[in-house]
Amino acid sequence: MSDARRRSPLHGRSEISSGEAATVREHAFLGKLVLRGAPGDIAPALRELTGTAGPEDACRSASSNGRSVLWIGPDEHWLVVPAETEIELARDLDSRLAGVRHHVVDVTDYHVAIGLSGTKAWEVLAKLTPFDVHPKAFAVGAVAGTVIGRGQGVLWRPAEGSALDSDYIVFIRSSMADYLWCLLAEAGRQFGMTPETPIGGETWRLAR
Amino acid sequence: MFVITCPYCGERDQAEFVSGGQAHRTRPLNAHEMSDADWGDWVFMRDNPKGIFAERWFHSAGCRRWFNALRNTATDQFLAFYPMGEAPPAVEAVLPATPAGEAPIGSGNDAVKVMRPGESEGTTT
Ligand SMILES: [Zn+2]
Repeated sequence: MSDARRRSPLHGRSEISSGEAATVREHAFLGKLVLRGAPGDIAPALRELTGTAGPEDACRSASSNGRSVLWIGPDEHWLVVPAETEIELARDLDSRLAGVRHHVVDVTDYHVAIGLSGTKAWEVLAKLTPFDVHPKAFAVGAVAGTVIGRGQGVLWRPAEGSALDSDYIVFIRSSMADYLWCLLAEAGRQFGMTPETPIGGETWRLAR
Repeated sequence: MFVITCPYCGERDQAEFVSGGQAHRTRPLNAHEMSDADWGDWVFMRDNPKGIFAERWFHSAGCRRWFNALRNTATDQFLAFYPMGEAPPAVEAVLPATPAGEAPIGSGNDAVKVMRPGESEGTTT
């Protein structure tokens, strides 16, 4: 299925890092599905197909063997799975949930996943969002839809079972991915990150 | 800025929400029989009380769900949050409705300002 012509909105960017403090990288082509349906109805199919029945609490995630189920709303979950496995999973879910009120949409190319790691990663994020991202408030496994910079996105702290090696993942709509990438670099300047120039050529500074 | 409690996500910053205006408005079923004035009232006119007001809020950046809230419009204090389709819960609000003790009409209207004990003419709060 892999096609060499497939390009991410961030294909021109490569990992930026300031050593231990913070690293920003893209998790390109990470599979993402939106699954709507009553949690009780979809849990058996989820357990069968992803290895987890989904998180029990709001604003949490559950992961197993590289497949994660994120709580997005009372009847809405995101499935985050390894690249190129999402199409098959969507098909399997649809057939497994036949007769159950649900819908599955592949949003792999709609959202871009940007990963943040490092001892100062939360401080970089904290400059861009009103949500409390301190590790004490936003623990491993937590999910939060919130405002990030001038855009809206979903913040996630992937647990071990997700097989993702970033401390924080930010899901942002693809058209805003480059904006957020450069904004993260700007937010990380305090910790030694080098600035990135937006594709559009705009120049801005975070107020400080 | 203030903190709003989404019934699904918990306490979040106001920046994540969109206000949906007055709650519990029911679209008239006899629109074809209504006069222009009555229809205009339904479309354009909203209550604007000073005090407890039931309104709809949308957690647009979070779980993207609508819910209702009771807010004291004079103090911006939220008194209750409840799901769409439910009747507003009874709440006990402490009046006067504003911290500065203005009259129960208008806002900052000094011409009708209520003087509180110990407050003298010309004092600004
Ligand atoms: Zn919410």
